[in-house]
Amino acid sequence: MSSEDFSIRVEGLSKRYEIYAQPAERLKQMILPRLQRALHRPARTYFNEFWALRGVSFDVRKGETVGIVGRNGSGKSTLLQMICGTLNSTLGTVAVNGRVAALLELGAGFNPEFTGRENVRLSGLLYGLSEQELNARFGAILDFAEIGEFIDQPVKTYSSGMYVRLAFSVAINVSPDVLVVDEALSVGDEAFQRKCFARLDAIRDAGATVLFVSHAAGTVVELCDRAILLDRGEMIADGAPGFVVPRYHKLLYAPADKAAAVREAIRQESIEGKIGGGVSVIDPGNRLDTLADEVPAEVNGVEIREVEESAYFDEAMRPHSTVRYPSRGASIAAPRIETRMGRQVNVLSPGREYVYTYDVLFQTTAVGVRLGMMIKTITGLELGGAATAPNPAGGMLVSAGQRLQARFRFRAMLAPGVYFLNAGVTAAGPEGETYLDRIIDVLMFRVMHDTERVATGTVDFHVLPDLSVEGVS
Amino acid sequence: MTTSAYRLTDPRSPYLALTRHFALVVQMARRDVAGRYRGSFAGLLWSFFNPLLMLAIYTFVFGVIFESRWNAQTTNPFQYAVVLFAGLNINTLFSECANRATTLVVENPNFVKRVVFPLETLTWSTLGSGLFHLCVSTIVLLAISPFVTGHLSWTAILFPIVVICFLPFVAGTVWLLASLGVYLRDLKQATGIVTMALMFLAPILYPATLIPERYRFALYFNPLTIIAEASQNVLIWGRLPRWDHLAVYVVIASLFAWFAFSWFERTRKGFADVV
Repeated sequence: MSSEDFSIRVEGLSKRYEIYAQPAERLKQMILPRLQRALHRPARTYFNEFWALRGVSFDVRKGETVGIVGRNGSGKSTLLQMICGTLNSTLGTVAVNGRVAALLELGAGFNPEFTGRENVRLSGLLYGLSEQELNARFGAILDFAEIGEFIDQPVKTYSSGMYVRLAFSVAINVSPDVLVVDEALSVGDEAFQRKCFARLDAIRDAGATVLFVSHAAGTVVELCDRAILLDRGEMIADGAPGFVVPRYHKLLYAPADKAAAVREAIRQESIEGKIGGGVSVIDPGNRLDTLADEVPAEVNGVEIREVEESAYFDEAMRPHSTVRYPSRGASIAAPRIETRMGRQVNVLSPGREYVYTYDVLFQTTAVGVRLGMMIKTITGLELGGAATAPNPAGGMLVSAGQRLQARFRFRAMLAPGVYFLNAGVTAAGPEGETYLDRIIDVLMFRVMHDTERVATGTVDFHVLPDLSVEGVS
Repeated sequence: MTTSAYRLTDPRSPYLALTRHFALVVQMARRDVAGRYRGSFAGLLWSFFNPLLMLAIYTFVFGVIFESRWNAQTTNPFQYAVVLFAGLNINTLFSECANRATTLVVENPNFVKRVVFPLETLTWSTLGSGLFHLCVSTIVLLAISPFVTGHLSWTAILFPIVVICFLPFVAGTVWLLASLGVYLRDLKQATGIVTMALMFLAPILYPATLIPERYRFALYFNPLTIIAEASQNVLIWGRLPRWDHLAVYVVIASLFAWFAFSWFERTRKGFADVV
């Protein structure tokens, strides 16, 4: 990579926050240690330190779109602020080629007391536009922001959507070489978000670099050529979004006591991946090929079918919302999702077939026994399920001490995202059908992102779109 | 490690902060002036009413009730008020800038943390807004004083020179207080008292001749004295300012501004840690 080719170069970047009990301690820190050293006394420190970022290095090429993911407090904002120059690094360097426009947090840098118009002028001047350039672009900025007459109101009266629309509009209209977008965009409504993404594409096509931070993993996969995973101030993965994002999720759902191990595993994988084949350099043209390369190494070796079936088991993904009903003579055990080959999984490839299975151990004899399941969205919406018989009359007779295994085969015809499963056993009783055992949110699973997906909405009805042109002969 | 965009060893650096970001300074100052009266019915007209009403009150209280006279020769009840006004305008410029300075950085956390903002220019825009008000007050004074003193001297055109001599001192004060105000939050309270004390200890409310000759030199340690006297000379008395005083003043004030600017630039890296 030649030196003119890079857009952002970050080398060994570290940031130590100094936490002061009192503002005055900050002043003492600037003056007193020097004096103490001059007097050959030991220099005292007047702060507690906190390392928000440690030794982060990467290069971003011109025209690349890079997503930065990580848990809250992982150092994403600190990194962006240093790239934008609002924060000084403690160690290491950041070099940026060209003009950086940033959209950090909400309406970065707008003064709430100023009107929209004044803020636009001010931001423009700060980005280094001349008075003439500013006047020439004012119309375009207003058009894109769509805030109408509010432009002459103080921005403190704006809704958060208006705020971010104006801020984004300014940021893209100063013709930046590097555009940094924080989570701010999630505030806008969908129509505006779409408009923004379209505009981001245009900016990227014009050769600008886009740095993008989001909690919405789907957006990172869709929008970015590359993703960087930060955790506790360290960069633990850098590669194709298809490689990095699932690992980010794994880390996100890891229980506190296992987080360290998960982290280490990801870091190892990432290093191996890099040696394997230049992960950091991705030609958008053969993105799919690259994605295939990113399949975890241990799978690569096994057999072709396993490579196709990229579903895997993420031990960390366990629901915290599980509710178990009091048992009345039966207990549900060993709930899990398997591939058709019998491998336990919970991160599923969309459109593929899986088996949801659990055992039921009966302590009492029961009649009209039915076993049921339900798939729900993260909000609790019941998407669909089934029972082993249409009604109690069709149910089984089970005697005490028997063990049943229910196997529900289903196809993951679902949008990427997280889903929850219920399990339940019912039997006919004197007062009608009752639950012998029931577990709400017994399992959770994730459906992976699919770049080829044409279906919209949560459930994929396998709609087959067909386009034909009916011309006049 | 100093992360200043200026060569701090250059005594001109405080003024580069103005020339480099001139459009920004003008924009901020304009918005500051307009913002003060935003939402009020009379709007900018208040800039005129304020000094006019002040002058009326001074005239009534000092001229009519107290029967204060600047010197014994005159019996005109308005004379004291216009002389007072000439000196007071100088004090107002200083005290307004100084009092706003202590919170200048603290009240703009966005400029410290969110954007790359040339914080040092806040001083110049504060000064710009203060100068606008001084300008309006001076016009009011010049419109009224001929009716009181019977003449309007040509020396009034020297007033801008007097003000320019004053600016390095005011700017330096703002840089110093703006930086210290970030770290020492008590400063805001103290500044109010100090600026008031400086007003009473300058020949603004009384002529310097009222002080016994032996102690009169002490007045000249007050940074307002030379400028207030010079303003009274050029605006009211039709006399030339004491050029020797002004020359010494401008040299000391420039050194002070240079020091204060360097201080501000050297301490600004800590702002983000505590704002």
